[in-house]
Amino acid sequence: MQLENSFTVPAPPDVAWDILLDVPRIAPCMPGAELTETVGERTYKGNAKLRVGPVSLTFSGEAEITEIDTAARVATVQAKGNDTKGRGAASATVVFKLVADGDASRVDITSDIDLTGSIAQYGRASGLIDAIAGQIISDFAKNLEAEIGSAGDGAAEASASAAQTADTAATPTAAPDAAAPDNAISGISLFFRALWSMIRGAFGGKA
Amino acid sequence: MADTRDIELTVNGESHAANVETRTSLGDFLRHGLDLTGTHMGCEHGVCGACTVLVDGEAVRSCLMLAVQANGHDVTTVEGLAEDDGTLGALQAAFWKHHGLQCGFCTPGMLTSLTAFLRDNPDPSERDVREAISGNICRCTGYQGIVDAALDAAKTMQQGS
Amino acid sequence: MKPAPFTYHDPTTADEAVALLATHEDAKILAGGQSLMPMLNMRFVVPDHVIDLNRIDGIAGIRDGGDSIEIGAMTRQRDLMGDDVIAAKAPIIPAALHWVGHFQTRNRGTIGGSLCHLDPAAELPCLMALYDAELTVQGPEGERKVPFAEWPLAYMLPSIGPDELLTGVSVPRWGGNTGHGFVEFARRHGDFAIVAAAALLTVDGGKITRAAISIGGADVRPIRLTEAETALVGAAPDADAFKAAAEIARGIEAMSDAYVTSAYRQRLAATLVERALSAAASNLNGSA
Repeated sequence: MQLENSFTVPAPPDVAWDILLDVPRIAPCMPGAELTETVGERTYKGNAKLRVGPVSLTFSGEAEITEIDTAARVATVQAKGNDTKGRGAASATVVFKLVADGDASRVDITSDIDLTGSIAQYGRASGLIDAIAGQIISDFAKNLEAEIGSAGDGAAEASASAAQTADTAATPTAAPDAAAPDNAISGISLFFRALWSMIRGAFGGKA
Repeated sequence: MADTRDIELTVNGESHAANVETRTSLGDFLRHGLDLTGTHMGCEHGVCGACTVLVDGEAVRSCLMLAVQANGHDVTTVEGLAEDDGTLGALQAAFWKHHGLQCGFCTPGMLTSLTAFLRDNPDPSERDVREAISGNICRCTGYQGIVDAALDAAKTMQQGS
Repeated sequence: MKPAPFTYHDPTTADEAVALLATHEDAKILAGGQSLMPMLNMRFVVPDHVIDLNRIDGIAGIRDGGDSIEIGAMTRQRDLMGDDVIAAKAPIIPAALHWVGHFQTRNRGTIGGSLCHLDPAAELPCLMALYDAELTVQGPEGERKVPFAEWPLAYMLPSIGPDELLTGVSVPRWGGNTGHGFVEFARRHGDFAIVAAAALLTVDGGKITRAAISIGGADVRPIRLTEAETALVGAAPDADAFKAAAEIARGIEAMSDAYVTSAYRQRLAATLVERALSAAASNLNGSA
């Protein structure tokens, strides 16, 4: 399945480009993601947790930046992971393109995703995947913004809270407080806003 | 290392003690642990009704209960519906008389479900019976024989014979 | 079709259950089991821990709270159907429960389980929306109350944290000269609803003084048809008023899936809302 998303980084293209290629720095900004190992210059291993309704999925795998075109500011990432409970696997080719957008930069992402195993059924509900991806990226962008904004200081906090995985919603008591862009919020927002924005999903039938 | 628990329960009037894996369903425990293969596993997600047994007298899906949850409880399976000397109960006799079974796969669930239903609804209409068995799927009979048997048994039991 | 191995826990108090939830990250709560067990059997969910609530005292039962009915989360659906207080004060509940699964599943299934599982087509969430019920959730920090309108966060995701437990539901009593209607359409009796409509009407002096309409199965959460409710207040409870409400129902945004289009759900919503309102107007009995 093909997905297209984009987000904005509050920094000019040259600065944004370097930040985005600094994978260990930005990985903690991805909700539900955990970077476990840097294997080579451009290869990383890690886990990603997400939840679809009553089902929690944890993917374990690796991602490699296979192409970097600094002049055009385009990078290609190949990622693949298996559900740690054996329900299937996902692989994706993701192309990131960075363009100037006023004082900031816009990142356009084109993803080509394949699902195998029993999780492939979610692929039929492509609107659902779309919305989840959209929400992940939106949260990532928010966290990244905070991370860039607070330079060094933000990093520690963002990574500590980002390490809390987003497998189930964190305490959703009151409206999420605006204080920190941390993952307590993204934990919930990942799931609920994603699915709400999707609304007319193709996820029919019963669980 | 499998997660197991010791359980004690009464099945068809007899006490049993066993050590079971916690993920084992009540239905599988009855069939494989106690060799009571009358209870049938048709779908394992609660819709076909073939696995229905009585727990503390209530009809439940044994595929949707863990064996460990039956610890300390009283279970009745189809094997427990006849008299001690093997004489068929009124409902079973009626099934025989009215051809309420062909292959017999749904029959244990039908019998346990109807046993509970008739106990709580001793004078049902045909419509009541059809609704009562709506949670038990039969591929063979077309249900008419089952409905006739249930209504006949209800009459018999009311007459107290 | 057997569950993957898990570690089983059967706490005897709600506090213990909450502590277990806080300790074990990958845990699922087992209430009636009628929704969780199929998922476990199919390995749709593969938790490391299963926390069984069936041995906990104090979170089941129905209590007449005067202006409300207090229901423990572990109350079996069968018990809701047979309870005198509920029959007298919220008769729409037993009426709707006839449509929930089959009597064998109602013997184990619980109201709490249904509200936490939050299937879009489930009847109990539709009714709790209708009543603006209040849910009580217990967590490590203590108890909090959640109005039902805030309960569904997303598709099958309630507003409950990973270390929290739903312990009870409070259903406010309507009283007055009130009638109820619950209508559902499914392919076979006992199937999940494609669309369901629930209505409560209070009539005084020939005019509707209060109305609530809840539509289930059309969206990921029950839809309260507030626009129609407002329009009904002050109107006579007649066919024209109900037709108007039906037209508003026709305009809801509805899900589409492999089986049913959103257009069909909208049509069903319109028809079922009209029927539910007519039923409510015809059983005004001074209690519900």
